[in-house]
Amino acid sequence: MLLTDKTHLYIFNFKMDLKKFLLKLTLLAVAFCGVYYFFVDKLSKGYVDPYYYKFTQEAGGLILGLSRANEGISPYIVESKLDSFIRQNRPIVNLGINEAHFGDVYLETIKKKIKKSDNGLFIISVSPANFTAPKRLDENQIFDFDKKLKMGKITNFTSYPNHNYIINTYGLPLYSSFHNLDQWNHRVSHKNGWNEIILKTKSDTITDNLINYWKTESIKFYTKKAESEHIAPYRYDCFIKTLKYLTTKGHVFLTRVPSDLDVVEIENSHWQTFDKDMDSIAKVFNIPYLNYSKQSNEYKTYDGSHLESESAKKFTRVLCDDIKNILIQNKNSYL
Amino acid sequence: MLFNSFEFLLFFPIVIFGFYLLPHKYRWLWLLLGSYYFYLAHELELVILLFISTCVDYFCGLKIPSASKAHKKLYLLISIFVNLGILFAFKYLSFFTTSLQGVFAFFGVDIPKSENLGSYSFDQILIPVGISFYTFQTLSYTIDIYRGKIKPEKHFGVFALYVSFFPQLVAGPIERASRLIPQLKKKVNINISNIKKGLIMMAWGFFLKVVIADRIGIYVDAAFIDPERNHGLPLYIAALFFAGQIYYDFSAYTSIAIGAAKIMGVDLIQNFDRPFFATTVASFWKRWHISLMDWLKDYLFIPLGGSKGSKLKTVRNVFILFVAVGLWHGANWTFIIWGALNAVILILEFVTTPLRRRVFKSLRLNQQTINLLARIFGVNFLLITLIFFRSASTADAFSYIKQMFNITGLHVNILNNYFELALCLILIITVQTIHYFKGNDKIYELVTNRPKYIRYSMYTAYIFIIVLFAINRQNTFIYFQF
Repeated sequence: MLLTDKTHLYIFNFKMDLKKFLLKLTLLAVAFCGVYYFFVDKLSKGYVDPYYYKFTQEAGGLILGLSRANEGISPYIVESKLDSFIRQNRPIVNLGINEAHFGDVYLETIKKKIKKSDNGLFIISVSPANFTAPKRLDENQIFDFDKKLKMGKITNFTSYPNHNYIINTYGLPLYSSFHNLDQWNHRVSHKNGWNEIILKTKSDTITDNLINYWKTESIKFYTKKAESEHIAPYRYDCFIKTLKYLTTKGHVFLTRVPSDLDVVEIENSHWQTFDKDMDSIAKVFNIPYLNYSKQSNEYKTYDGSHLESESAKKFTRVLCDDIKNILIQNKNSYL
Repeated sequence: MLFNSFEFLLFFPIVIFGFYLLPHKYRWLWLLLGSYYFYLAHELELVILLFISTCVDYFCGLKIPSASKAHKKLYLLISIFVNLGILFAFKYLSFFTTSLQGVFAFFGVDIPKSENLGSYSFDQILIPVGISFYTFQTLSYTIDIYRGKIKPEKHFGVFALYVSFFPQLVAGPIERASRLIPQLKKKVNINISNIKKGLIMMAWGFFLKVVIADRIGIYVDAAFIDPERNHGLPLYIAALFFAGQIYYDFSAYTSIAIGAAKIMGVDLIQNFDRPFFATTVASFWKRWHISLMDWLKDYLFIPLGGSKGSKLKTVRNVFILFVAVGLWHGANWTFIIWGALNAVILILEFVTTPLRRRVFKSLRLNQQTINLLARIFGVNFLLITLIFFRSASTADAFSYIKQMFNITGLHVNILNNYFELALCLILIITVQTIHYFKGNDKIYELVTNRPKYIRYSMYTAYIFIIVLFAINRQNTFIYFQF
């Protein structure tokens, strides 16, 4: 059947309208993407969050573990003290994150951070907490659980600026690129991933009273957490896998960062033979286990669990001296 | 797949382009594939349950009209048994076994806990996303056929699409076959005006979700995660915010669902009608989650006798209705208490109406004052009941309420970020004002039929608001868990 002129005109107009509409929609989508990218880029060049700088460079060596490693071990000191042993042109990065329990996700992250690196230095901070997972989860579910955390969401671990990190993990509104919402004035996030906690800033001081209060809260938190979590065999297996991998990539040191004795006691009550077990594992892999958990009186935490800046520096120096001695001994034994 | 995810931003345009490019006779297949893909992206294994429900109800639906009276009932019972059986097994079994263990333990009989029953635990059963929604939707189909209200759908594909239509599959609105199936079969031509309206509804839904509900949620989570750490006003504000969060979150989902369906020429029913402007608890429940309340009214409340019998019978029926509402939301005592509290207040409202009228008359209060008082009372009542809804356990809920009345100062903010707190309040007031004037269903009127320069300014403002103020956490919608 032939179309009438009127029908032709209608179809022509409709097609024009549709084209115009689709063009406008496309323009809106492009404008949206443009504006989004602009603010992501703006944010990526400033402070993002305490973990951002852990994912902005390739690493020659790593400090691994949970929040105690994150705040308690300074890569600057490690680099300066162990410079002659490292022989790396890539930096040591603190990859300690409070959600970095041993698992396949953490292991993959480690692999990507040190892809091109050999003869590196790896300090692994361990405590029973590194091996915990919610009781209700089985092995596969723990993996899925880890995949939903920061390291599981991102695909780029080594670029600066790291847009991928912001797009996939940044949970705050992007107006933070003008005024950051996540900046605690007692925390200094260094470009090598170390988060230094300073007790005294220009504007205020974390007093002993506050430290005691936070310590009480920490103990309450750990006690409550222990009710719903357990030491997961999956995490232990992944820990072994991590050690196997890292021992092929350089020198590995296991350490237990000091914290208040009350907190250590809670941890040990959930894994009574922890230090003995770590010693055994260390022997199997022929690596040292440096346990400082009983030297709590020599260091100060700001919440019972995590070292404040000066103690973190002091601890890192002590740790590096011990590592240095071991490395010298090893060198001599090779000779 | 979440509506507020990057995957959906890719998935949806592909489905729409495919839908309009394909001839009408293949569209059902395209949408069915799209819907199953949408569900598979959530849960790979549990899609089988959706398929079982579909097959059973299709088969029973076909058999009922031509069967004898006794067989009609049998087919209906098969449909009810299979659907509610799946729902019970996946959603309520763990709760009932735990509760039974509790009852036996009370009488000194020790029954092994579920985790000790071999290597399998009921606690490990995953609740399929949206199971309560699609079970109720598909159940209404066989019941309506049994009642002679509708004829069975002979095309299996169209029926499967009715059960799984992706915009409303996982969180409603719960549609009836008599409304949705004819729309799914109808030939749809491209209608730019409808597409625009649909897109605006979706954009509004995204705004409600990522800018408001998820923002309020941060404050709410901080309060509910450990109520012992806070007290007084911050907990009151958090409870108030939770009422807002659940409303904005659910109405966001509904807006996106309605918008997405509209783009494909399907009109879904409205699930909300400005609930916070209700002046009675009864009217609140007529404006909140309308599709669920209508379903329960038609298939539970009225068959029980509704409000036609004695006062006592009405009271009993209201109580059963609201306990069912509570149970529908989740297998936990918190939901049952939430439902029961609503029933108690509704019954009190029903019983004391004449008395209240006399009191208001003697106090010479005008209607506006009465309405204002009713709203204040309503919101606070809702707030208390929702504490049970949000808490992980009844003990947590009581602890929250206890701490909420432990007022020792004027500290209002848990997060110590007053800008964000103020922003939450501004957004709530703004959206409530918009809903007051435009309702939940005519939001697109804010944009359409305005001069070009205003429309373009609004689009630009929208882009900047979403980019700068959205909370980028890809949080699931609260009602996905039901």
